[in-house]
Amino acid sequence: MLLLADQTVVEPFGAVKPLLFYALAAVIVLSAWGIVLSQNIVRMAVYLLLTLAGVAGFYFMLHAEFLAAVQLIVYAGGTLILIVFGVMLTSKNPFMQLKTALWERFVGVLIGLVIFGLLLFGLVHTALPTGAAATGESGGGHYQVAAIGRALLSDYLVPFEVAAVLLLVVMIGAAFMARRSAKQGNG
Amino acid sequence: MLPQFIVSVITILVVIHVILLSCSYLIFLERKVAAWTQDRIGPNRTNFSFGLLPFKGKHFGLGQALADGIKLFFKEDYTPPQVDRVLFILAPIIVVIPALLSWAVIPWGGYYLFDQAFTVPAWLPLLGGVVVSPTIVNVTAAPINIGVVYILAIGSTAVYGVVVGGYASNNKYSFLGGLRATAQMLSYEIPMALCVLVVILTSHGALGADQFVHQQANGVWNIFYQPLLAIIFFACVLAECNRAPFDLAEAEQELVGGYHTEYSSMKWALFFLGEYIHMITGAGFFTLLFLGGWDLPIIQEPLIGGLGLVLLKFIVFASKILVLLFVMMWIRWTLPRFRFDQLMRLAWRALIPLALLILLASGFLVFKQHAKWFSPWLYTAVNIGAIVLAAVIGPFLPQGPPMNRKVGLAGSRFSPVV
Amino acid sequence: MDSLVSIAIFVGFGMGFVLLNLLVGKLVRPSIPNSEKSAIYECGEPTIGSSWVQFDLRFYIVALFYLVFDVEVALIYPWAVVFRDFPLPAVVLGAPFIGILVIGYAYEWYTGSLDWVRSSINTSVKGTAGIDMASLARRDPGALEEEASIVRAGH
Repeated sequence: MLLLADQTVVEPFGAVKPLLFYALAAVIVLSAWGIVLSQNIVRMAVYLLLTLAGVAGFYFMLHAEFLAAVQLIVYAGGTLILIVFGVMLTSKNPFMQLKTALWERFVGVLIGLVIFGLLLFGLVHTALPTGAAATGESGGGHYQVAAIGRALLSDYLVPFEVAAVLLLVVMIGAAFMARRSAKQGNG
Repeated sequence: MLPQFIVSVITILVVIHVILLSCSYLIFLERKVAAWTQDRIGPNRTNFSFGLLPFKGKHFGLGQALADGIKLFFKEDYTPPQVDRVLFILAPIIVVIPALLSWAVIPWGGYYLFDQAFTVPAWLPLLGGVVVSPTIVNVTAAPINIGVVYILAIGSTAVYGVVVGGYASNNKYSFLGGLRATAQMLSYEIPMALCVLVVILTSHGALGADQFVHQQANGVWNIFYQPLLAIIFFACVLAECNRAPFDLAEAEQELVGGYHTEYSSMKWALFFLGEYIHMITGAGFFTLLFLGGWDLPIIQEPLIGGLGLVLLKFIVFASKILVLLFVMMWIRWTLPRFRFDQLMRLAWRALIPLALLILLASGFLVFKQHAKWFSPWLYTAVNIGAIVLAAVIGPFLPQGPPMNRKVGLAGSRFSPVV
Repeated sequence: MDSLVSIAIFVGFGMGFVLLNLLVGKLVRPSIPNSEKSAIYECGEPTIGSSWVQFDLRFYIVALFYLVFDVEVALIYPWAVVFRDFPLPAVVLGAPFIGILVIGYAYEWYTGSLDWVRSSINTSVKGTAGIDMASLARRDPGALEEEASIVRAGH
């Protein structure tokens, strides 16, 4: 395509970038905190929406625009609705207060610490790219999606087709569930 | 990068102000269209004096929109005690923000040419002293390379405002309205995404919003190649913004107001505003994909130019959106509302298979595009063929149980209890 | 980066606009609550029970189907973008992917999972308020047979 703009200007947004990062980080952390502390399932879903949107913002910052869009479409648009529906289906009252027992909190903190440790380990032992590669100013967007497409059709062909089979399994499962609900008479 | 940013900010300022202001006049237009459809006159009395200012001259009732806005400011805003307060206040915000965000990638005015180098004054913070060389920029708020996927992604989060509003109100009507809206929006997002996929496939794998317009400006508008697809897409747009005949979520005869039953004053107005913003976004998306965006028909306008050309393209784009909005209003006041099972049936048994069919056939045509017999008008043939195929084999496909059979209620005069 | 800044400005404007509307109004509008106004609005009828009814399983199934198609479409976008560059591999390798999903869709159609009204026995005749199967059978014996045959055939 024709476009876009000159690459000569060096980062006029040097000061804005960290600011944006911290703003997004604050949204993610605060809403994640809200999910943990809230006892109301619908509020949790809204906080989770904010967390997912914030993470999508991070992907955007890293020039992974397509990943950000998929994050919003699949997780924020689909999975979250499914979770909310699932909870509302199993409990009589969606405004029910979720109370956690002491041992549950203990186990939760333990699992949280283990995951934190794993993430920290991964972070420390990964060589992070620096300089021009880190900002990813070149390419991005369309080229990136094309690269994903090429990868799906070559190196990752098997996972690509396996995903189709998996989706088929989900479809058949859903069809089975639909049929059972019709038999029970509430459908 | 910097010229793009300056143009982006100016575009944001202009677009936000023009559209938010025009939203109140869209409501006025809607009332006029309703009146026209029903052979009435419509609002024609309110002028601009509001009992305070001296105002003389013709007004056509144009003061109505402003008066409505002022009324909403002064109306009591009560929050019923049984609601979930946090979500009740959050819901209108969740409605408006995603709807606004979709505007970010719509290419309002094509490309603008910065033909002279200049230096940003040194006293400006952040950008002072930066030299800007001549360059071409996109007249859009955010020139994202994957524009159409971005619009779909933002659109898929739009459902939450309605759902959360419905849940937070703690009212049976609201709850049912929220549920219906969720199922409806989810169902119609699939054919919408499939339509976009077909257009991407036939547009050389383009993803950026400006690329679609650029290609259509050089050739024929997509609506002529894909008429059926355009109709499917338009139906999905109507369903996504909860417009009639898909307005089951707020069906006033059965659900009072649906998800906004418990809302009043400005919070209610924000729900309404969200609907109109969604309409404009949907119409813009449709214009972008099928009506050639800022492209003028017949006349071959230059691709890149100065301020005048950008303004002209903006006006062309806005007029196309306005025509589509008028069609939406016309449909609303002409067609009756669907029943919920009909709504679901339309999405899952008509729109999705048709879109899939067109996707497969168009994919085959794109595969054979270098063949001697290939012509883009074959897409049109595919679209017409899909309708014919549906009409021919549709009746032979397994149908669901009969839906419209009348069952006499025991004890009624049609079916007396013996 | 530029785009994200623009989007952030957009979010800022949106939030500002919304909050301005809500706050400015707060200063000028009256607030005279009374018990009638704050009651749950159900057309004047006194409210019976909680509004948090357990909803139908069908809504959940719609969400499930949506998720399947959503993931499918998200995976097909990159495929569609590279289609022109490698038509042959794209068709050969993409056809099984789409084919499997079309088969799944056809299966759903065939089993009737896509119907909102599953069977008229369950939704309109059986059990619930006011409809008496016995009198229906007395008046029109064929009707019950017809219902039963539909259920046998379809499910």
